[in-house]
Amino acid sequence: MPLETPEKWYKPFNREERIWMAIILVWGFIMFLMMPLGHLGKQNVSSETYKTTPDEFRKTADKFIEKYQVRDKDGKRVFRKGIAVVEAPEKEKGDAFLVARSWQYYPILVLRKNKTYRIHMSSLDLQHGFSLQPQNLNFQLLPYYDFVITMSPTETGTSYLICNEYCGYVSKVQAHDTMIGQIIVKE
Amino acid sequence: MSATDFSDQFRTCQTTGLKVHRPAQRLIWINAVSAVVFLLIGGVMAILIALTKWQAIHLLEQDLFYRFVTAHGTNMLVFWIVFFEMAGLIFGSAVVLGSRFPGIAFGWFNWGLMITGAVMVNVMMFTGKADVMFTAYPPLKAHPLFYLGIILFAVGALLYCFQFLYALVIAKKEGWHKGSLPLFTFGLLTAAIIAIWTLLSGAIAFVPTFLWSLPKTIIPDGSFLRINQVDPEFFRIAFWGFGHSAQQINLAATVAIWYLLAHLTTGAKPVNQKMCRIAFVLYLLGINLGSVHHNLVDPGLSATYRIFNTSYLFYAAVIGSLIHAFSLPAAVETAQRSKGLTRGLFEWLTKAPWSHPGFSGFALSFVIFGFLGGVTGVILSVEQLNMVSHNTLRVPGHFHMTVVGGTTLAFMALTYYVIPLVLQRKLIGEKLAVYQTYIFAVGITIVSAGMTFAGIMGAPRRHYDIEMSNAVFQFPYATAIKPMLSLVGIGAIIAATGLFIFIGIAVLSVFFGEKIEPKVEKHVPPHAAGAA
Repeated sequence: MPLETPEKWYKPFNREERIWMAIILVWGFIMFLMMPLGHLGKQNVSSETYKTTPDEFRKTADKFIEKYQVRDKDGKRVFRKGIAVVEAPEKEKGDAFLVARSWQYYPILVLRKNKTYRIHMSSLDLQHGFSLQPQNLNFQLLPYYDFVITMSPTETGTSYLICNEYCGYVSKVQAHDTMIGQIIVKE
Repeated sequence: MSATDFSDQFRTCQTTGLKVHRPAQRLIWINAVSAVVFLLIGGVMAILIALTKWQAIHLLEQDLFYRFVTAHGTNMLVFWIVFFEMAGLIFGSAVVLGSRFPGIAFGWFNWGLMITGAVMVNVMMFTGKADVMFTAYPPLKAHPLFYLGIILFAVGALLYCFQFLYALVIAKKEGWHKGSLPLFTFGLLTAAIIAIWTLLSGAIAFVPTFLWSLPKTIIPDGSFLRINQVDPEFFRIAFWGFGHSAQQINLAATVAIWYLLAHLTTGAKPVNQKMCRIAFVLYLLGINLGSVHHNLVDPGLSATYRIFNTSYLFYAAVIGSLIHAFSLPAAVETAQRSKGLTRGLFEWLTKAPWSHPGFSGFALSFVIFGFLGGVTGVILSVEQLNMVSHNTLRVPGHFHMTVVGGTTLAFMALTYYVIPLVLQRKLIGEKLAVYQTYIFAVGITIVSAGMTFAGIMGAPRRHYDIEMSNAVFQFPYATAIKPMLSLVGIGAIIAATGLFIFIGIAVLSVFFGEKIEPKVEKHVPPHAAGAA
């Protein structure tokens, strides 16, 4: 019994035990192989990260918005709900920037279908969760870390960025559950 | 050899024949009672937040919701579980080995540290000075006393682990026990070793964070103790070395308890103890690595490191669990068949003592933890799949199967034996206890299923409002999420009913149950030098 001092517990495995051990060892090895093999696929977590500071990242992002913000017919800068709308450059022409801060993602990036983009993401204050919906793609965004993700949208439409890491509460409209942004994909 | 004589401090258990060191029994009592108090707090929080998740009811206000999620997580994952495990360590060393528990006063001191820390943390949380969630990720800052409370609690628990190790040494050295450790104690030893790793990781995460949270009036600029910034990724890695490894303590303790419950209810003996022990050693080797699955979609880590760590070093720990998944049912089947229940493939199972809370609790938690929880956990820790599950409700869905449906249910089932055998009170409401295990298991399975399916559709965890009604944009989540969140609420009502029945039985029995008179007998170390 489990409470008894065993006389001799070191004894050979019987046949069933050996079969079971073999099955689980093989299965464990297959599961392990799946991990590196998964990297042959196209959808993987980026390993590209740079050190930054909230100040530096904000300045770089502001320059990026200044340069690429969408303008209407009269040449006026376009905002949606107070958030700048920015046409991101393709990978070959430059990098795009996405800022997370309590309680906003900015700017609203406009991407083109089947083009590739390099998007730098970082937080200016607390930890935030990047949750792209309805694609359901989730990343963690931290201050001091510039996380670079290379992605190519394959379908058009408006996607939403929802924060899924708790980032504080001040009032009804200034709280973690009000933090939302958009990414727009056009033809 | 001992300077003092401990022979008067023992009683003999009339059911099991175990020699119980009575001062150790009081330590078990205080730790178990403390655990249940925090379980009650956590349980009340659980029902309130689940009814808020249920969008049609949406009970709490935003701020209270986040405050109560923090309190629920911390009280359940840390205080309830660890207090109970400390009771388990004292039982597994002194009582199982028929030994004295060394340093009784030191044991009370450790309990004092833990309870002080736990009370401090709770005061901070409920006064709104620590709305930072259980994870407390910096730069989100709580009151310094919140971090200090966690550190005090962890130090108390760490000292208990060392005291447990010393108790094993004393049992050998003074001749209370001879030979290999019993399997149950071996499992708890695994848990204690993992606990030491865990608590050290906790110190690495929380000590700098505590210093960082202190105002400059206490630690001025220029002092070597001044910390102006805690690196968020450093904290996340160190924290999960604590946060997830803490669940591996639960795993090792829960498996040890399963072996015990299987034996107490069916007379099951492990068919091959070598196999079980190897599995426990695999936990030790593999499991403290596997905490980076919380950081799979974090910036700053390489793919190689992610693969190495989340495969739990070639899935060593998963293989350990799969061994137990074989040897536990095998032990029960062998015991049942030897009683003549041999008809068909499954008579041994259908004629199992399903009306004993010890057996139903064991069997249900074995299925919920081992199969549902284990499988979902392995899926979540695959790098690519983590991209579609990180911080969604799928994650709490997984750990409500393991920690609640598994560990908590096993602890509950064990409590029904601990109260009469160790705490010496007759159970009040023994019949209710049978239903309790089923009610709780059904409820928590519904909760976990609701969370998992909502999470698969993208619902975020720790989120007040799936409709995002206070935000500038409203994202139309899949409509099927709402019925799933209603399931969370409905399941929580059922599970909480089971939980409160358990607390009712435990509290009534411990304080008002009929006393079982102790059979006080002298007990001297049977294997001491010079003893017969």
